[in-house]
Amino acid sequence: MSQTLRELVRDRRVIVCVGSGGVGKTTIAASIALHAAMEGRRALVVTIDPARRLANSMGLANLGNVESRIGPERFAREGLEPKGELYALMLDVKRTCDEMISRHATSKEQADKIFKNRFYQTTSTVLAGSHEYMAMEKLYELHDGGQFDLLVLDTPPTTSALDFLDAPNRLTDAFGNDALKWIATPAVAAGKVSMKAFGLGGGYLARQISKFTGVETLSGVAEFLLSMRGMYDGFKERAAHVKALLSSSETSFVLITSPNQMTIDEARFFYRVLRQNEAPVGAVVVNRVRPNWPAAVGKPLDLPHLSASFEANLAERLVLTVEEQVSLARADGDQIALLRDSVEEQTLVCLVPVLSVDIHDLRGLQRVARYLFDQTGDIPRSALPSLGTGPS
Amino acid sequence: MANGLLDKRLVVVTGKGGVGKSTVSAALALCARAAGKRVLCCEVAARERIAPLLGHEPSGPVIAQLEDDLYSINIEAQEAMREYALMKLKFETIYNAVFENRLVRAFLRLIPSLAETVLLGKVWFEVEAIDAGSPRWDLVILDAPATGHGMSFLGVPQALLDTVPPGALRDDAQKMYETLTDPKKTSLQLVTLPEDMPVNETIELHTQLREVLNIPLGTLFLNGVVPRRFEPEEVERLEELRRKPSSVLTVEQGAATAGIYHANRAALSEQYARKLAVEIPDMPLVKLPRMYEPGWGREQVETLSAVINAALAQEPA
Repeated sequence: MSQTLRELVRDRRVIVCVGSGGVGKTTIAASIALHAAMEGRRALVVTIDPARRLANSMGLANLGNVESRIGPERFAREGLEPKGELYALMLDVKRTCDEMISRHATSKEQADKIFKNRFYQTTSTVLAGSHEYMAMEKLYELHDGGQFDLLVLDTPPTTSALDFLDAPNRLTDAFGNDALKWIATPAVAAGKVSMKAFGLGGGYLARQISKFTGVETLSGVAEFLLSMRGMYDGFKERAAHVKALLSSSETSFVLITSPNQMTIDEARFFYRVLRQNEAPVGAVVVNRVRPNWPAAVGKPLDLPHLSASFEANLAERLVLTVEEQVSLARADGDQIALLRDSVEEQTLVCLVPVLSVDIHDLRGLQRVARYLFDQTGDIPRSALPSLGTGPS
Repeated sequence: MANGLLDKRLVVVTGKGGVGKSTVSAALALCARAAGKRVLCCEVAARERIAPLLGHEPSGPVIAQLEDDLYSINIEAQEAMREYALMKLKFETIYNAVFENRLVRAFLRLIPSLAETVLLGKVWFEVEAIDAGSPRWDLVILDAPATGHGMSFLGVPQALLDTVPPGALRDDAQKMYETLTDPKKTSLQLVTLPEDMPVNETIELHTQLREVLNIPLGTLFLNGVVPRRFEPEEVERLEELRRKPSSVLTVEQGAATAGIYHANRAALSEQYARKLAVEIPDMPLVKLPRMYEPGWGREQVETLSAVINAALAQEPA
């Protein structure tokens, strides 16, 4: 069943924006949330790494992990009248992790002991899957809270889509092993490494392992795990809920890319990984597409055509400029076609042209949203590659 | 040669996503090889880029020869872990008994910083490797992403030194730290684009690198630079043309829009080059041109390599 992007954003409760770094994910995620708010929904965008100016314009500059409303006066200042409400939150990974520990700990003392642990302090931003997991944790918490009609998550730039989808798995795998509880025992923590826990037995193997990690490291980690005893079931359950949310019909993944050869290659790879993990991919957005001006005008922009309006030297330079841009636009078209052929028919492919100014305020986001949802703006649709049959 | 860039043992190329780190890394590899060096390119990527950019099949997680004196690897945590463990445990049977044990693997997967340690450890190991009395590689080039992960990736030795008690792992962390912070051995390059976010992030990254990580800094590459082509009066005229009300897009307007776009990019190139020179005065700035060929491949990398060679030759030693 195919939908337009409008319908997708209208109907879902969770939209997860994934993709390579540097393609404009934060901008697209914020634009989607803005559109939803303009159309009457109460939308929250969770960002990880927003541009300073965009953050400022959304009132995010000095916030922790708390959602902040972008008030009607801010909208009015930029000539916009939302029917709904827009909120934004800048994810603080460490704080989210601390909150997660506090929530699952069996007592305040246990939580404090963990916070003081040396391993925790160094690894808390990377505990069991780093930024990706904390983004998921925050998403779950917000979804559970039920305060918003739509949650749009801007994921961290990741070297691997697998990190992201794998994050809940790491916890369930690790804590799913009953035998892990054998590692987190006082004996191991005390430095008497018990290889019985590993099903290996024998002092010889213990010595071999200690060559690898240093026995103090192993016992340090064991102590750390020990301090989390009693929390495993909570973590497991949480991770399972996160996984279920990600594959539910309430959620859609939007894969964002730019049209260059390397990012399109990555996008195709990410798409396969997402589908293998049964993640529902509602749309693929190709951002920063270069326009083809001769195509938009419907005539070649060559010397004969331009000599009528521009003197020879200027006309030549304009012709060269147009040729360069056409070369890029054609390359983009080829890459987009490649991407289009790699995704399922019901997955929307949406194009956003490259804009001459950086997006750093609500008005800029609205411009992007109009391209995304209405295919309208200063750059005509005819300047961008056609997508053939299928929903656009 | 600037900072004797090509005379180091480890050249790290970093910067935020999408700025062209892989192409700069590939180009530097060709520069080094042309200078008579035996080069290893390392990346840590979901999808390998460097070998394909040089016109070859991906190398995968084991070092592969691409050409004479040119090798590459896409370092992968699991494989790096295996190699490191084998080095320490000496016997494969023991490795298998311990590490193929699913409980141990689950346990190790829980500590991602361990994965980052072995990734960096693999690079460091290659930098320091000696075969028959001489270094295995004249130069190792590392294409390292500077997302939160990238910074933590380079910061791992320091984090380990802060965390881990004395023992094998700590000793290795210490050696890694020493190599990374030795200006005779290591140089870190930054790559950026003449755009708002990349430039601002690069400035922040530079501050963090200088103040926190102690990794010696090399050259700042400004990629995708567009040279000025239109004079301000011409741009004004083009803008007037574009503003003219019209029911259809005219030939003049189409051309004018293309020209204005070019002029904007050129202005930004100049503006950000100036800003970077002011904010990052301790790194020489090398400008790399925007290119208009449809794809990124060997030919484009060779063009970049020639530009870099020319730029490096001009700088004071």
